[in-house]
Amino acid sequence: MLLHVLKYKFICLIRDKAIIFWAFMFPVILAVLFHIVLININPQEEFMKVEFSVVDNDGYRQDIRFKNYVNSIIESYENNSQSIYNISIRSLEESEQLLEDNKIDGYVKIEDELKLIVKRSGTEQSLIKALLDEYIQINSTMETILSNNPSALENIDLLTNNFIEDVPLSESDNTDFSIMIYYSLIAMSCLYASFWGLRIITLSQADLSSIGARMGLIPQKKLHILAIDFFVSWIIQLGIITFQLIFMSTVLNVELLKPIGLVFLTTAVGSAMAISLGSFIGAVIKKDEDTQVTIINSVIGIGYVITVSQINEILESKLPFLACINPIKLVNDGLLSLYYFDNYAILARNVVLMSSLTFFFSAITYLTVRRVKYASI
Amino acid sequence: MVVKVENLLKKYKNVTAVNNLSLEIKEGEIFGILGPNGSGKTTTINCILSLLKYESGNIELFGEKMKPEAYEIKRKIGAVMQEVAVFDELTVYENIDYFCGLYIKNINEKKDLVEEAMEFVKIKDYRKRYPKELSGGLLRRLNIACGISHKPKLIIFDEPTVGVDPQSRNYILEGIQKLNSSGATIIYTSHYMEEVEQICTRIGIVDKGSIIALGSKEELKNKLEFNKRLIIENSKVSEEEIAEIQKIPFVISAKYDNGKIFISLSKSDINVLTILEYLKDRNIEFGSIQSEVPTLNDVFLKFTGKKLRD
Amino acid sequence: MQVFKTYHKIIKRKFLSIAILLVAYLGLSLLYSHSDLTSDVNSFTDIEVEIAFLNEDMTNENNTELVEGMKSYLSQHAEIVTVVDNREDIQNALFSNEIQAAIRIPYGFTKKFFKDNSLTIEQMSKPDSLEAFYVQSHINKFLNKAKIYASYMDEDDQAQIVERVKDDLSKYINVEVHGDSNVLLEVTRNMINHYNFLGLYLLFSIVSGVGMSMMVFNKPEIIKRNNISSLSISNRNFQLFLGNISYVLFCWGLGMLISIVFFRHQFSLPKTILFSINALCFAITCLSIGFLIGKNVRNKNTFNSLVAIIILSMTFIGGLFIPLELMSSKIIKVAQFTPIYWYIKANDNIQNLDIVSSDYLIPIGWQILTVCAFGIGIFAFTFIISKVKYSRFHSQ
Repeated sequence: MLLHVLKYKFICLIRDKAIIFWAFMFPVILAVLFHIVLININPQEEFMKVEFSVVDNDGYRQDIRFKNYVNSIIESYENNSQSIYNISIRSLEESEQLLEDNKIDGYVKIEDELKLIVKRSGTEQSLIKALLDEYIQINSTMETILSNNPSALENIDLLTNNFIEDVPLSESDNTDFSIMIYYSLIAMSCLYASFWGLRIITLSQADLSSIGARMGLIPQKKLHILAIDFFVSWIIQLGIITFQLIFMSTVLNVELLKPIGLVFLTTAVGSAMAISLGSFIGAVIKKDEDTQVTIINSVIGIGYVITVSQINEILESKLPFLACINPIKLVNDGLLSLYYFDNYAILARNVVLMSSLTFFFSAITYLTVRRVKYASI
Repeated sequence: MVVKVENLLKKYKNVTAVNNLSLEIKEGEIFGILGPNGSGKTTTINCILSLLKYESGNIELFGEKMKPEAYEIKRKIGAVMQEVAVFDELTVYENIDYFCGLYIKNINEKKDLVEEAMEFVKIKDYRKRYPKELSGGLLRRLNIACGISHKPKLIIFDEPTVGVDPQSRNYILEGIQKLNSSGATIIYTSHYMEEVEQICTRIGIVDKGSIIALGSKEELKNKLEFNKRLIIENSKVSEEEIAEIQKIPFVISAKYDNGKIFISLSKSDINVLTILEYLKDRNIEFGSIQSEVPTLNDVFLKFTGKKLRD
Repeated sequence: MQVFKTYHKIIKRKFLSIAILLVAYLGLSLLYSHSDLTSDVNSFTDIEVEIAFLNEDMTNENNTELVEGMKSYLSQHAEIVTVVDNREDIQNALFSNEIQAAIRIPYGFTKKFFKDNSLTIEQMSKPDSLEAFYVQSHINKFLNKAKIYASYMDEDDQAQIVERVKDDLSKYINVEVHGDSNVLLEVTRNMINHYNFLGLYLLFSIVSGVGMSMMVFNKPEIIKRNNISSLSISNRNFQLFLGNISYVLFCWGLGMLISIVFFRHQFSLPKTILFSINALCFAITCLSIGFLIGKNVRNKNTFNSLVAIIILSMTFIGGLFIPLELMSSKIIKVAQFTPIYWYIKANDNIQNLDIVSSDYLIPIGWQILTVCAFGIGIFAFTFIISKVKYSRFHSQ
């Protein structure tokens, strides 16, 4: 009998073309779109120009060192496309007017000391400040040296060594941070299985469908039928995820399949969690289908947005419990940790969390639907 | 006793849907539950099938208390609910095969039963079609096949002919009688008096959640005072003349409505000519004459003051 | 106004679903702004960084003076977090954002530093991390200065070198923020982030809500019944439009009310008015998208999937998750075909608005108008499809 039910549940699900199509296509379409964006991201390109002026007053004309410094930056800007500082030398009135008209981000004047005048504190202003702080600090160093060692004047060499060596996170030396975007889509795809879970409950409850009423009359234990439904949904979901992983790895050329065993383990546990979550919502939230679908959509949508944006860090500091039960993040982090690290502690923790959630949701679902009689159907 | 219901009380919030209803159904009966929409028929059935919670009462099927986990009882029950309950993704054959397989383990036996069920409802020609491709009548027949393919001892039909074409309706009613003659006890609910009269051996008439009359067709009709009704087309008749007609022996009641005289007679073998001669003597004009036997509608009217279809 | 009333009954019936969307996405946009409500808008604040500082270069179990000096300097710019010194714990701390960089000073670093400069400091961080770059630049600044002093001030010992470096690095330019009497109150980045994320809230709540209602009206049986009624199509569509507009106004009004209350300490009337107008125009564009999908899609699975695809791809390309500054000009050209790009751009310009004058308002006005143009275009497209379907139906 179990094989009989298994066979027909499988056929039913496979023949529901709309649900299968969108379960596969939804993350794939997003992956293709995101891929097009990501391959066109070029962090080396300059993203900002900072414009400021230096007031051509007596103070400036007399400060040779500062003048040389400014000229070297102007030269750098003219010769190097990656330089971001566009400096002009102007009178005080001109500088004030340009700042007023927002044509420049600030201006510098030397009276008793070097001063930067701005209208607001923003990124451009911070960059000007950083540049001028650098000058003041270098100047201080040179003055200290020259006051103790005047002969150093001609030979002084302002060093720009890099003392840091970047150590890879793991032996695999995987450094493509954009991989997170694809893993988060796979995680979202795992969570799409919540709709399968909801479907399981809808078709087994008399107050949710006429088939549910018929299923309420059969001489079989609900646990067996639910377990078979769960298993069939899980297998089909794994098939869909496999196709998606292969698609992204081959067509989009994104390395998602290593180590293959653990990747499948993570997505398998994630899918099980999602199906149990969907069943839980279907069994416990006794409202119409639209409401149940909206809840699932919101869990997926919000979970995804939190995972890929800075909100995640805010949530981790303010509401860490919520952050650690975000189902999409659990799958996403499990997969990411496989990519970046050579230890499996994070994966193990997340798999345990996901398994616990699966058990919890499944248990509540079963206890809610077993031997149930309805108030109305 | 196949079905025993004692003092069943079911409420939906403040509305009493089933009001201390009791009934007993013997093996081999076709028991009809007749009542207008909202009288509590489907609610009673769902309580019997342990799908609905109820406030109080006792329900036994095959001598045992009915509950959701009474799998041995469920094995003997088949239900054909009002709403069509089939999978859109499975063909006609696959649907019957699936539901039959939930009751019958032996593959060969199941195969035979499925073919028999398709033959029984006459949808063999459509075995590879999907439910979306079937008409309303064929869909209902498929619904029936799914409910009876495992040859249950008790079959419940809850308004199975709603929205069905006359040909399909006849198939369904004939089929039910065949099932009964093969040994199944049937519960048949409907608001169509003609169907219930045609096939049911015993009938319970329900209204507002209570059984208001119970018995065979004849027993119920005998509860009425009249055995025959004459309907005489007439252009005009006065109130005094109606009062005079009422004085005729064996006339229980007479009334004039919209150009027709309705005369209820107490004995069925009354000579109609006697009435007509009486009318002729008094120069009361009349046109065509129809004679009706009492119906369940009249029974319902007697007990509730309204018609079944009101 | 039968259709209008029925529309509201349907919305009421689906209110629980709609309420979930409103609360979830409005909550998200508020959460996004929660991290820093009290930042001083006139200060130049450093970015927040947490690092692990692992020193193997000890003398008698103490840090060398160079290392200690560097650590003390870094602690002014980053929070030094204690992490168990093993690979796994460090990786976990990086992964969970407990730290953004782990610095390891190798044994013998100080000695080699003052001799031949052959040892390097190891830094472990996530790839392309801005915070790690920030830490790196501070360390290099410190060490380069120490190197210069070591080269030119032979008599100085480590402690003196470190003092001099710290003294130099404590100097900074004097900044004056010149205000104008008409300068509008500056808003923090968090408020802008909130208004940008409000776009996501408007998209999900309006597109889903409108779509759900339109799918009810677009059931074939309902269409047939409406077509044979005495109510003209234009009257019916007008009432539907009014119903949709009232729902949009509700979502927009709720979003604005919550935003104003939440950011009441940064309230600036001209900017709030501009934010509100921008959001309203974007809300109407969201209506057009919901209308387009709801009118042409019947299957609920297809509807939900299309809504998610359109919204997530639009917000991704349009610059809600990845800053537009990072994208190439090619992608920005594509982003310009999304209404959210112009919505975010207008918000950014409203943020930078100093005085209320036509010079500053005109670019904002054009951006808001562009958002409206998207809405009008999508509506026009929907009506064309509707007309084509209708004429096909009648020619059969």
